[in-house]
Amino acid sequence: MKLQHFGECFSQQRLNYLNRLLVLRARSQAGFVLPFALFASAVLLLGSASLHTLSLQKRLRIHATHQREQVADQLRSSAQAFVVASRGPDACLLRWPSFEWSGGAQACSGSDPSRLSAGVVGEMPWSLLDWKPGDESGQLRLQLADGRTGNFRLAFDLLDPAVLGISEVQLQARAPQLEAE
Amino acid sequence: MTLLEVVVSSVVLAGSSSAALGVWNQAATEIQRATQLDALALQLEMARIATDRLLQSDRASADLLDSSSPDCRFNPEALEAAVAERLPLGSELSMHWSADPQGLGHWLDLSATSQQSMPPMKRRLLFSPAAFGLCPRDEVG
Repeated sequence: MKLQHFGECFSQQRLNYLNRLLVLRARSQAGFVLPFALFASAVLLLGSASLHTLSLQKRLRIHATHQREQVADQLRSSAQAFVVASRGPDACLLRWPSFEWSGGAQACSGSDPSRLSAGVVGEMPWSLLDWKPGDESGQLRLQLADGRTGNFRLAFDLLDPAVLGISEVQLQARAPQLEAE
Repeated sequence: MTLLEVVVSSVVLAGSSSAALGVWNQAATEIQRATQLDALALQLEMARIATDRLLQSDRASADLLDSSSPDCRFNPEALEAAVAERLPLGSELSMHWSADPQGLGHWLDLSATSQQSMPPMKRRLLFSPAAFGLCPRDEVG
């Protein structure tokens, strides 16, 4: 009796096991296509989003470079205007650093330091931050009205004060806005 | 695997593929455009550097100055001719000189346009003979 009961239980368990196995297999087959499709879609969309981000980054980089070049052009033009302003009686001032112009101006008849201190070129105001003369060259620092600053080295004849050439501009980080003059 | 699952999966995959293809196309066009802009910017910079080097070089002389003017100024025609002769420009690049209204020198307007319908890239610089040591010293005073 007991043996027969044990045999029935064993058969029942085997059937249950087989049933579970079949259900699991059916479930695994049913869930294969949709997750694969979702995964593939995610990969495609993420890939295209990355490519789009790269293209936008490249465009932004070119835009930033072009803007930087235009600022450099403004500073180069301002340096040219400074040299033009430094001709004539004001050329004498180039012998002294700009912080000494108020005193040195007494030795330069007809000079006006304000003509070398600021100006407008192409509707963009500029101002002189610093001028330091050396033996054969001088260091010029100019600032635009938007706070951008540039350094130049000017080939310079100290004996007969005149500028002979201007170096390439070295851009500096944006400085605070020009103070009210 | 049911028919419904296959249909939904196909719709999802088709939709995302189509969207991704559209974005890829747009990104490829954008990259091509950016590459062209980069090339134009390089041409503009090369033209600027070449003009600057020309004026700095020994070949730049008093011939470029306007002898009829009491001030030390460039002769725009001579300047344009000298630059055009020594700097071969590509068809995409154009160069124009104009006098500064304040008499500070001459403005060089560089413009580069691509074949695609894009706004031209522009550069603008002031050049004065005094900055290149071309002005006679006796005028400098």
